[in-house]
Amino acid sequence: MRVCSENSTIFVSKSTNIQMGKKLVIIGGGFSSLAASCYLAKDGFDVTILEKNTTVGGRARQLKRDGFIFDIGPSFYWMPDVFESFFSDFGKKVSDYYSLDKLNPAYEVYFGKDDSVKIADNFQDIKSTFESIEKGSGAKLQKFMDGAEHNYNVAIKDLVYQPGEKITEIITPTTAKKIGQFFGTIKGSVRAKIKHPNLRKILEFPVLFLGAKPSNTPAFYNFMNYADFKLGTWHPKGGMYSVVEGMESLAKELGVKMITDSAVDKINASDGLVTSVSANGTEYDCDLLLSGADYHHTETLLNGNKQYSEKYWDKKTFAPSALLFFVGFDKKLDKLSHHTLFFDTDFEKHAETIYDTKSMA
Amino acid sequence: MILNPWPEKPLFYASFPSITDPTAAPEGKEAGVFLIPLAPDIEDTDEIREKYFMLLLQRLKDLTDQDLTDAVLFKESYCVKDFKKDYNSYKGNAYGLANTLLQTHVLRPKLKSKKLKNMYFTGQLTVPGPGVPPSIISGKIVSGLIKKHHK
Repeated sequence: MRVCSENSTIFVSKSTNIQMGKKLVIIGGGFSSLAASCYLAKDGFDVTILEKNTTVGGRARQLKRDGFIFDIGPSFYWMPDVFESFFSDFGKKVSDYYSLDKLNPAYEVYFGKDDSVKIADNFQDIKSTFESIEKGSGAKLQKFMDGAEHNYNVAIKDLVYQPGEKITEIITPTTAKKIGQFFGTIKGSVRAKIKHPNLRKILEFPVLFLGAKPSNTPAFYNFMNYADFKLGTWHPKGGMYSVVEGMESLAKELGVKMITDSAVDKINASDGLVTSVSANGTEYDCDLLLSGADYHHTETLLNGNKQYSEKYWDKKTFAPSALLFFVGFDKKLDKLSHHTLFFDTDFEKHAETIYDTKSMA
Repeated sequence: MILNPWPEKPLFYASFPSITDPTAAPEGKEAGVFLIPLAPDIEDTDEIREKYFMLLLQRLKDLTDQDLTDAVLFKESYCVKDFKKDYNSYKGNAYGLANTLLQTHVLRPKLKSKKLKNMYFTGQLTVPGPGVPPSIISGKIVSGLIKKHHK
């Protein structure tokens, strides 16, 4: 115990001496910004978040109406280890801020009238479900999942925490062996093992919603399937906005200032340095600027200091947009689960309307 | 500009949080969120939204054999225009930049500005990519870089 407290004393005094409270402004209060604000405040920076909307949390906002509460943004709580690891970096636990339920079923998928598959909250039951739909698929799923588990561990330990400055960051003896998985695709690796179209849809949907056709997503991303089947689907009580409130509380405890209803409309720079930003007619001086707002939008505020052309952005493959409805029903509904997917139509045709852009018809 | 077509028979996702979380709706009622993934910058009008709402309700009714039309107390919609207005989201994207081979790691937009020495970026268009956990990780990575460069 003594060692521990001595270390933390040294750490605190060291970081405050070094940083001298450099002023750091963050544009936007989404998850990335909130996370960064906590780390930077802990390191002694004087952090202010400027958020254009009424609440922080970015897309994770809440809609309240007539006693109903909806998450406007994300609704799936996956990879609980990442959230736990975040809070533990500050000596805290997820349970200090919000409570989690593991959903069972994790989700349900409809393929037709009264034809649905429920994905259980444990891998043994998921395997049995697969086996009942396609004989022999349980063992194949196990094999697929072992590879996915290994990829998840490699991704979480060696890859995703790298800043993307140099390609050498991600080339390690372990990842080098997996190079083939970056050129192979999710679609190919799923189809080599599983034949039943419904099971294929279940294995391919996580990447579809997160950004690209399974035929264009490197096979390595099957670690999403590991997150899905092995780590489970969780629900923070009160919805995803509870996570925002938790991170907001932590940030405030660490001294982060948050100013809402303040859209940054100008970034002032001279001699290759940002000097201040303007929001709502107020100018905020800063030694450092971090933008968690839309990257393209932030660059439109930079005049001569843009890095990427309009053409650069236009050529990128963006993840989908979406049409959403928030509906209050006057009764309890039947035959549905907390998360329900409706894949009773042609999956590939729909994916083509999202991703096959600019085809010269 | 060529606009992507709307899907004729969309797949969709629905969430009914009040099935497991009583805080989501008054007793005896259900909160429903529906989502159809769409191409960024797709045409977004009130008429199209309404058409797809009717289509979703009909599908839900057919697949689960229950009538819902009279059970709708209210609905609010959200689409491309709102993503742009609320989040300045490029082309109204909902989930950031896709994870394809050519948009992985060093091939994503950079965390540190190449033009301004004290300017950084974070979020789902940077590393590691889209989703809530990657966004949290992005915040951790960029703060590590800032600390390294400005100690």
